[in-house]
Amino acid sequence: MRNVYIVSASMIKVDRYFNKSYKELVLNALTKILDEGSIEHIDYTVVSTLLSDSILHQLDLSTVLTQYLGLNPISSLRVETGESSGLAAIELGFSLIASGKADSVLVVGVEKLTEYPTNIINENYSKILDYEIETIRNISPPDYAALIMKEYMKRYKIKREELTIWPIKMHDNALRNPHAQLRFRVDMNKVLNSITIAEPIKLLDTFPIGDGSAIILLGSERVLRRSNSECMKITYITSSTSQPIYLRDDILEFTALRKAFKTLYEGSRLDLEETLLEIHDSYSIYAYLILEELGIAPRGKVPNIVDELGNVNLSGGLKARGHPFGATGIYQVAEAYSILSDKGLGELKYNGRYGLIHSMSGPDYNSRLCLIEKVM
Amino acid sequence: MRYSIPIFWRNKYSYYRLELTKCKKCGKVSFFRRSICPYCRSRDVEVITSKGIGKVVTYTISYFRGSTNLESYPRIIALIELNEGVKVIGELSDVKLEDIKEGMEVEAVLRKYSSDDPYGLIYYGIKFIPRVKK
Repeated sequence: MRNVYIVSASMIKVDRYFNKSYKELVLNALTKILDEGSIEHIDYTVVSTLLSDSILHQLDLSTVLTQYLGLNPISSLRVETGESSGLAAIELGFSLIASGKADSVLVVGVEKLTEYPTNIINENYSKILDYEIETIRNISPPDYAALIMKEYMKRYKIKREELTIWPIKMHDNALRNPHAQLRFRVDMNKVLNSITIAEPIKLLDTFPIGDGSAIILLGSERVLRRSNSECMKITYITSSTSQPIYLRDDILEFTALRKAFKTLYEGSRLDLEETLLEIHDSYSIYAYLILEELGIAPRGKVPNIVDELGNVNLSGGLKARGHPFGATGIYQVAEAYSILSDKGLGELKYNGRYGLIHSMSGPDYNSRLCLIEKVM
Repeated sequence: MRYSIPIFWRNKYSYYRLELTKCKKCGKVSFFRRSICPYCRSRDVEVITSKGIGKVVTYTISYFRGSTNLESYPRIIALIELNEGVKVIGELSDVKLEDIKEGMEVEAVLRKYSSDDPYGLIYYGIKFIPRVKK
């Protein structure tokens, strides 16, 4: 298997862009990479977007996008695996290069959620669950997050107030991320007094609706040699799936993540304390469960150590950076790459060698992990 | 038309009668009528019809607003363990918010899911109500 490198990464602020189409968002995100001149020899464009069919009314978006960007002739395709689509696109780009099928792959994430009112986005977002069994019967993703949060509080005797620590920290972190959508502080009262999404989940326990585009350029050893920018290696990328909530023995277990992490850990023997982590905190309760699955703290104890975590979601996470669905996984990787780089991301810098990125869809219906490493 | 009519027609046994799948190989019962066991992939499965009686394991009062689920708002979404030993996810109906409790007995009934307002199709399916004592 050939080595795969991140040659460049670029993104725009997650925001509400009523005046721009998805094509213009991608173009804005691509500007840095175009200016670097590293786009001349790409073989593939892999595009990740979740709701382009229903919200943008665009099929074969990857072809239309390559036409708009003047990238023809080129191989292009789209990837969709629910909320984790972005990391799945990187997984595919990785495989294309590792297998020798391509030398250079442009992985583009884009989502345009402000084209319609939130209720229409909500309805379509709910289709990440099983449409026939769950969505049609009025079950939506935050309902599951709520059931899981209630069970967590009950089993470990944790007060609702204690679980506000995650959004508070994420909003603090986002203040230093120039691409974050929510750059303001919140406190316990603000979280608890925000509107209820599904009891006990509050608005400030979950991600905002926003538009975004993030792009990474992947390359083989050959591309690495002719690149002038700082490159990082993708050391490992893996994924897994799990049962729907109602078929699980224990709703507090994220077995897809557990399986993916076991595979990754056996291959890497990673020391997580020394690793920059980006995790999929679509609802604050999921952050606690994810960190527990990764072994950061014993079950029910993560809320006690959140304050001490100096290496997790420096971006502000989905909670405060934002969650433009199909683009999110690519934001996470682009941010980790930038934060680990010598230049840093704005004021954000992490002095370490590894970055581990986790993305998932729904309550761990699928989970994906990507390990990146500074090339020394 | 909000929903496909064939989807409701072909799922009538699970939507209207709460049919479940019992695997003859691993013995596990799973929610919904299926042709393959989601636990062990055996295709040697049989359909069993739930009596529709169970208990609320946990629940949430959901204010999450999509555009097709405004018939009931807020919605009470519950994880229910049926007497057949299988968990299902569903909506509670005909109950005051303050009366819902974990462990309460419920029974399956047919209720409206949504409709093509103001004229058109009405979509029905199973929801759960507090068990009527006999």
